[in-house]
Amino acid sequence: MNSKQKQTVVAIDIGHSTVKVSTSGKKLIFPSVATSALRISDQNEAIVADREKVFLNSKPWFFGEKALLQGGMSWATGLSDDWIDSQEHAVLFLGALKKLEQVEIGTPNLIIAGLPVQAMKPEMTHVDRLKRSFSELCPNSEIKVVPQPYGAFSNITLDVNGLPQPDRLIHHISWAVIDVGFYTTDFILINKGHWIEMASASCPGISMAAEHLMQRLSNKSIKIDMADADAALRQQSISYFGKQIDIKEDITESISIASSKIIDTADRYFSPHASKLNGIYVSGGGAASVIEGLKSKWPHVVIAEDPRMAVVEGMRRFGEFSVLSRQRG
Amino acid sequence: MQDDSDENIKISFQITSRQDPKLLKWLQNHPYKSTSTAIRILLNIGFAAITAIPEAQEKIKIVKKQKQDSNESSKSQKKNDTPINVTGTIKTEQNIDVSSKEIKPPEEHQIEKSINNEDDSKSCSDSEMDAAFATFNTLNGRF
Repeated sequence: MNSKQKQTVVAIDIGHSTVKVSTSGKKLIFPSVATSALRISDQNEAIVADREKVFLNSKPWFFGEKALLQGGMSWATGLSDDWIDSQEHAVLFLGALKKLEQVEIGTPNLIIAGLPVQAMKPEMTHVDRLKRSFSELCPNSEIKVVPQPYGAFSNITLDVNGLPQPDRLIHHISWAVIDVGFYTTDFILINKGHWIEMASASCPGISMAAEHLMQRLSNKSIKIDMADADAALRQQSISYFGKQIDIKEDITESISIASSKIIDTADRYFSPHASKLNGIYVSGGGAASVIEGLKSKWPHVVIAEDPRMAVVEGMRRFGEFSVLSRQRG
Repeated sequence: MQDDSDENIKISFQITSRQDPKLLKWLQNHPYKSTSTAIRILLNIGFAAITAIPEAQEKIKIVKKQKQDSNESSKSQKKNDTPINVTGTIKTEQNIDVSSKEIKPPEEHQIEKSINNEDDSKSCSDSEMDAAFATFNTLNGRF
């Protein structure tokens, strides 16, 4: 990687809800769904399906929209830290590489992956497990793993080419990041280039709202799964046995409970530091649910331009920086 | 949209969310703190719009001709440097006025727009850049 030839840097963030991919000039997103591939008899449909089919240990799998459609299922894995060891996780990684091939991005020189802050602690083995898994699947690429909110932080201090932004040099700025993901919400604080451990942690993500919504609807004899609940949080209604049901009140209440928990956690970690920070940056697919509550607490809270893609885009910038840094020597 | 036959062509225009929601969204996301890029883009938009009007095209031709004549006599100016002054108003719920370079939206918006955009005009010394690389590399050593 010391050559000054253009290196292909790809960031892949395999979330519990969606897989996000970023490479120079291109961003991709698809549902985190993987299922064993069935034989499709219709020739044309089979050709289309092949675009979202990969092989893991010689076994065919569908991923993304095709898995959602053909498998008729929601997310294949439960919400747990160990899902990085699952076959589905490996399939989604291969799916991301396949999607990249389809937009003419070849084997990456460097792949940046993300994990929740809690999984990055020295006593945890997640980083090594994830690196090993990805290296086996893509042996010619270097793999780096960063905490997901560090990706969001890189968006602040690095430009699209991975160069430090002159007006936001890392050794001059102090920012906190709240990354509101589906499974976890992650908090980090970086003060003039120093990681503040006491202000870096994880708590449950916006899945809390989805779980609460499932429970509320179950009490009304409406049974939905986690993927439906996640979609309903965004769409404000559900289609149930042919009827469009308005569940705005249930959604408002469910989001309120989840956002209160996230805001309370942010308060606990960031309050001692908040007044001295340049700002508090909020990213992740659940950012919109908590932003108003956070802004009412702190005036310098800002939401990422594209919250859902902010982490993976920042991870890519981090990767570009790593390449540039080596080239500088 | 208006123009006059003076050497300076003044363009006034309004962009509303109904007319062009995509453009409005882009403008709203732009860093008001540093308007140079926004003004440049507005100039391009204004120029593209005015060149679509036949009367304006005629007036631009006249101005260019005058300019060329002037250039030929003085031999000191470049061609096609017709100055264009643009004033514009973006109609939003807050009615943000961008008719001057002193654009001051609410402070929290300023931080948000600033952090979500990059300002190419900013620079720093080599030593500052080296310090940024060193600090980042130290931090990245954790991963």
